[in-house]
Amino acid sequence: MPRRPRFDPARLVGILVLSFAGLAVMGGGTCVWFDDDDSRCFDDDDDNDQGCDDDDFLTTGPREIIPGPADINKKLADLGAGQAAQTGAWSGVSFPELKAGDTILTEYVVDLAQEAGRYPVARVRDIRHLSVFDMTTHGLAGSQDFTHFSQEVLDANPELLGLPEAAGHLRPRSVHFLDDLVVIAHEQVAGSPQDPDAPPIPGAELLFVFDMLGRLHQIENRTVLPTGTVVTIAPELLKLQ
Amino acid sequence: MDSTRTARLFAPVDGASLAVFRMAFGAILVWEVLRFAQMGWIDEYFIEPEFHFTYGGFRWVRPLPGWGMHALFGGLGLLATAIALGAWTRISAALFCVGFSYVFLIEKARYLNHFYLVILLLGLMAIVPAGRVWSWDARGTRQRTVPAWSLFLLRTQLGLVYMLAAVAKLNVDWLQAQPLTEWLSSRQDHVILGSLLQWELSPWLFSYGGLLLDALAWPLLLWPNTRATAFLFVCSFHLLNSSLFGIGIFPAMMIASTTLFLEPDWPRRLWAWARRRTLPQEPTSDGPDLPPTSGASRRWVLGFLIVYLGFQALFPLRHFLYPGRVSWTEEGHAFAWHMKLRGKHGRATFRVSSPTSGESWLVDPRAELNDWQYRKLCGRPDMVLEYAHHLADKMAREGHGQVEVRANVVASLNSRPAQRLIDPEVDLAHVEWTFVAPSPWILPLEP
Repeated sequence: MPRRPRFDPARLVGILVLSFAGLAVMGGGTCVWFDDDDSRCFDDDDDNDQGCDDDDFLTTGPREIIPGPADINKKLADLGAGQAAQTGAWSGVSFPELKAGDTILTEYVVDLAQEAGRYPVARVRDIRHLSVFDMTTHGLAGSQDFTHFSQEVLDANPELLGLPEAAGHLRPRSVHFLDDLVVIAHEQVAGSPQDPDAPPIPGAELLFVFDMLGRLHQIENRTVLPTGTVVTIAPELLKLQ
Repeated sequence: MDSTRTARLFAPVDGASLAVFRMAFGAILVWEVLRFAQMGWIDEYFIEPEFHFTYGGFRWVRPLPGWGMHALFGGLGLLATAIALGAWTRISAALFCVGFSYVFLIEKARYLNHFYLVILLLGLMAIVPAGRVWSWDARGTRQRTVPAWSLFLLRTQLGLVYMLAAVAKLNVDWLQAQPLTEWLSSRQDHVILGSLLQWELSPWLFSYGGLLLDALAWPLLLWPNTRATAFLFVCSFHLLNSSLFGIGIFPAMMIASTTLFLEPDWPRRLWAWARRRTLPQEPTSDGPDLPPTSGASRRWVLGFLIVYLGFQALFPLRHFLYPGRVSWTEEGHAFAWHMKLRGKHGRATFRVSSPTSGESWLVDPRAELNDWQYRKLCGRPDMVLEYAHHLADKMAREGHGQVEVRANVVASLNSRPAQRLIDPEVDLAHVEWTFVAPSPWILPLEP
């Protein structure tokens, strides 16, 4: 005697048809079909990092992984940078006419910090999109690459970073690879660039601070100018030549 | 295991559902091979990269030359077709398993849980008699049964995937609707589900719904009274995943696999119903076409079932032996059905220094790695270590001698603020990966 099916095939067929119809409808435009060449649709059941634009993820959120100004100052102090500026030996200095918090085309912020016991420091911070790796094609940046990069920035921004002739000139001094920073120090030298024996001015320097990703993160202008010098900086974009 | 249960394992059952699964699985594999070819993934993943991340113990695996990889995928396509047709089924499944495992081992950055599942299922298909029914192998025969352990083995393997995926979801992040809160918010433009995804409770609904489904799918699919409903829910779950995330063949493969939980003769019933006929009362439980299994064979099969399934049940739980959050440390994360549990973004550079010359370098791995490799590197300590070793070897080859390599890796896990993943003070060039001991150079996750 024939037996009846123990389940309703119509229900199963219905489920399958509806399921695959749903798959077709919902999957349209996503990654279901192999003729979809959407590059963000690499298969991934492990996590969901497809096409994520995480360029700025380090600068978002309440906890900055990149050292803040206080951390950087501490590290620079550990390096012995800017010590002489605390002595007050260079008085009557007039710094660039920049106000704290000036934002220049949103690319970087210049603040003129008056720190306790020090003369003001022109600090360019929150610089974005300038990386030492922009100039290297092999992904390897040594001391020379950082120095060269810094020189390019100096050359491209004479109004912002250069010195008037009377204040001497800048000479590369050292490159420090720290655990989360790379610091390039240029010392201020009295006299002309043609004089190789010109003495450095103690504590007067220009520091380029790169973050762990090779991005120029901050410039500390600790150079000093002769009394009475006034330099006006045009609010131009910090640029790389 | 008493003799009654043992006898039930070796009793013949209808092989129709296994045959349908074999056909569907083979077809899905053909589809996957075509996707690799059509999307250009053979070149992108295996031929173009200058550097490949490999698995511990398989560092020697290297890709074939370009034409070789294309030929391999061509061969895989033929083998998948053979599996679907049931032609030389066991050999085809075994060869596909070997070939696909090779592809899998070439590049660790392309690790996918469902590729691992494909390998496991292919291995099992090489063992169970999946070609006994409705196949080229069975042409001219009236074979219609397979031993019950075949279905038991596949069902248990699949059930373990669901159950262990549920165990993996029992963590603070998932129970707080992360990372789905982050992911679903980015899918609010979805044509059909967009309005639902804008609802603030949606991530919670999806998180706890997914957990419940994973936890209950196996028992509810086994229980006849709930089987149809569970099947519906499982299909809906996979369709939803397919729609929201790019997970390739995984939904189709799991839906096809889930049919194994239906009555073994469901295809015949469906066919009979479609032809408006009722099934003849033909017993399938004692079909004459399945030769009796000898005592020795039974012992081998039982031994295999216990060892294999025991391993599959326990190995994915090894992450409980490690300190810290597995989604952060990655220790015990792979081969454990941790699926869609973490959104991890990061950045990485390396500091290389030569103690002899005093020279230092900052290394941007993006110059050498593809974007998809780099994204994985930033969240995977084992890959960071492997790349550090690669840099040390490379610098030595370039004449810099023995160098020290330190990693600057910061990552954000499940919407947390970015934080350091690797201790920046540790010279990774002189650290070896340990398979069992925790790695002290992985920094703990701050809450």
